[in-house]
Amino acid sequence: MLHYARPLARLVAEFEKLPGVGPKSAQRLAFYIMRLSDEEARAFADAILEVKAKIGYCKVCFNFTDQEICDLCRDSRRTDDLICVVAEPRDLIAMDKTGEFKGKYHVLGGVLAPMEGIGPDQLKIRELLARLHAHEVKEVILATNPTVEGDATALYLARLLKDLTPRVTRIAHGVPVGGDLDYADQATLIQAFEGRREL
Amino acid sequence: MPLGETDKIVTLFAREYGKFNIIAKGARRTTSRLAGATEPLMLLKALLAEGMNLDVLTQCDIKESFPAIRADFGLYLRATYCCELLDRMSIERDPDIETFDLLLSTLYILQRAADSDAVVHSFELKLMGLAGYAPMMDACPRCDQMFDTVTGQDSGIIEAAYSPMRGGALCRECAMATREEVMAISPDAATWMRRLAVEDNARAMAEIVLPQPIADQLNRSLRSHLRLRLERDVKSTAFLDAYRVGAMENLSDPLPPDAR
Repeated sequence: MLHYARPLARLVAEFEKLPGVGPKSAQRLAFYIMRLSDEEARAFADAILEVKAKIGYCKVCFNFTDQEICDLCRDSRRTDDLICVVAEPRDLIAMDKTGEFKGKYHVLGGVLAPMEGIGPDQLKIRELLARLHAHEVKEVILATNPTVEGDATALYLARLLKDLTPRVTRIAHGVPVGGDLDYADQATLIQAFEGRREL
Repeated sequence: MPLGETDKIVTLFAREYGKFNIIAKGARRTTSRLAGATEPLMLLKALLAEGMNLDVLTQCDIKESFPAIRADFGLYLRATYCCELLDRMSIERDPDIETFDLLLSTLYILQRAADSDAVVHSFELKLMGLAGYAPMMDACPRCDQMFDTVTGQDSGIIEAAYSPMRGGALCRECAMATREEVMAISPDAATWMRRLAVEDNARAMAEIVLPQPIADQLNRSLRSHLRLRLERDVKSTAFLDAYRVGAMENLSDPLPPDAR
């Protein structure tokens, strides 16, 4: 026996497909949608359809964009000499929110994960090489997450890029702001020591 | 595996409890005390709270993080392969102290090994031995004649080929007689296989360097042997093989701009 009317069950099932949404959360979201006015529900559905229809990947950096080339890549105030390589579009947003970096970005679309079958061919690595062949870049900054897979991807890229650009750097990592030395692992502390600087 | 906004599901392999999944709450926050500890290739002392479906990691102390493996892409690929192979060959909540100790010693030895592929092949052979899939190397699995493993080729029966299907080295007569898929294996390679399957001295293991033709033969035979036993490929195998032959760095021919 169905607990919900068929259209409601369909909506609950669709919400359940979202990451981190279980049956209870899906039910709560579906009931919330039921309480929306027709206009609000249409605006919600339109937003989903519009994002699917209009958002694609920037042809240069592979960030999400609604144009052929994204605003960041077209921004003439940003230098072409620096490329910051990130794993996901959300990492690009986090990096750019700092306002510290004035170069261009390159989004890999993930990190190397051998156990999940994600290798260089599944990432935008060839496209990064093409950018370096096409324009002289003075520095490539590898800003993948400081996880085991992020570090491995950076190690791999560093070897691959060393002959294509004068400088390949890795963002500093070690003890995080608000972190606790007592709970840091050896690898983190070793990196924190290696990355120490004079005050 | 990410769970919700900041949690993640982590697979642990515990000495006393075997393989099982747990939830690490908040472990995806950069300031979380569990963030570093729930990364792959960490040796932990962990305290778990029993949960409805999955246990919850409440405290943990990192005992070893294998920094040399994390700093070397080749070692990282080999360590990842060992972990995936163990994952494929183990079942949940099946305590296996010997397998735990094997993985741990393999990760330690990898960090200072003269030939990391020798360590990986030794791990494969020992793991298969523990699971009951060890290649038969002391007698021909078709005719059951014992190989002359002492005097080599001068007398007795020698190994002429490896049959993944029969799970061992075939003698010359059986290799010629059988039509099943066999691959060439030299008596030297068979001798190395026997040694790697039993070598339990960590220092000796770390000093072993396989001649390249032997390494190639072992790689080929063990890969086929494992594929037949597991009935599927280990995903990280393809990357490890590509790395071994330098294909992962052969991306120097980038796509033309109009193909992007």
